[in-house]
Amino acid sequence: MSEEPVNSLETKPIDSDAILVERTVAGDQKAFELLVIKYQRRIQRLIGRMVRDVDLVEDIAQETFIRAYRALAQFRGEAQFYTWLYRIAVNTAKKALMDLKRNPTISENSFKSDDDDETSPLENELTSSETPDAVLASKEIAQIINAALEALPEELRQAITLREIEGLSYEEISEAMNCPIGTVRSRIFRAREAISQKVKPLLENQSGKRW
Amino acid sequence: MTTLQSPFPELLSALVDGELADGELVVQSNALHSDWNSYLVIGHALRGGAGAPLVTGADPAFLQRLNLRLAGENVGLPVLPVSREGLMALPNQPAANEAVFRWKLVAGCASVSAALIVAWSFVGTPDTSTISQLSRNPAADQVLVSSPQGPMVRDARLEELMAAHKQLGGSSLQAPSGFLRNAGFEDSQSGRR
Repeated sequence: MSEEPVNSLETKPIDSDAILVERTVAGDQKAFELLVIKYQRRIQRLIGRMVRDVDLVEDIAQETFIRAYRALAQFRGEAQFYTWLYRIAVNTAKKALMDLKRNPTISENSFKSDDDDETSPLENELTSSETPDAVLASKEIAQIINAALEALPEELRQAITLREIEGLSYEEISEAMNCPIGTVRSRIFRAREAISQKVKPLLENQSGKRW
Repeated sequence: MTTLQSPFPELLSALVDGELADGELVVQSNALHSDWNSYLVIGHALRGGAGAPLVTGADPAFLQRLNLRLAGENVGLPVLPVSREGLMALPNQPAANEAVFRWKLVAGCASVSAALIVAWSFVGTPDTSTISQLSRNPAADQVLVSSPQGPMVRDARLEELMAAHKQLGGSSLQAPSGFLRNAGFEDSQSGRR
């Protein structure tokens, strides 16, 4: 794949969730599927801290996304999409527990951290759905990804490192690497593709199903 | 807005970073779920460090079940205009009750009825006696007379009316109301009878 510098490409950073929400509301269900793929595991981890029944976790997660889909037109973007989804998930879990007349099996911290996101330390706790096998597979995936990163050509490794680890925008990366934004985008994409080729088989083995 | 149908994973890669240029759109293809998922996992793993949550991709079966439920429950989204073009393209939509309540027909009938009433009031000329009766000053028929109970106003028209319906104040009603009993006085001639 050749690298073609694109000088004229002017990127305007937009929250990817906002784009996907907008497209979903406009009737593009595929966009909603990308949101589901992005947040499914996090929502399941969140619910798994409140509910120990693995089957119930799945059901509540499904209900969460259905409720979110129904209410998506009312999402005004005043909060982050995940924060909004998080609240739906917590309310859905509470309601499910009340319906089943069960008590939550987790401390009240789960309900208090309404504003947290992926930085929440509670997210790091293992849940009942994360078996030792899952932990092992996760470590293996992380090792494969890091090895693939090390094997990348310098310019690709630098581009994706600045993006994913340092959190720079494309514009900042283009300044740091002294190249056009289009080139940055292309390098990051190629880096992801190279790593993805290594990690996809593991991900498919992990889920047991292909997309 | 146009939608790209051909796979274009670089757009997905830029979308992961929130770095899509204006006008660029998400490629719509199930085949790209896999790319999207692995891009997310890669970023997750690289950012994670030692204390990160488990690096796990999404479960395709979860999405399949969700799609089945959405289709089975016929969950629909109220589609809102999300762009200026969308707003401009909105057609003039009929009222929601247009088919149920035929307000145009009812409004037309009401208009015609009102016009007929107005026309009738001008065309239909009442006879002069009616006009004179209507315009007669009621005060002209009233006289002030003295009585043992004090001065009373006697109205000839009222007395005619009471004479014509005299029985209502007396025998025909077994228990005349208080009003009729009080109002049903008779003239002096019938009182002597």
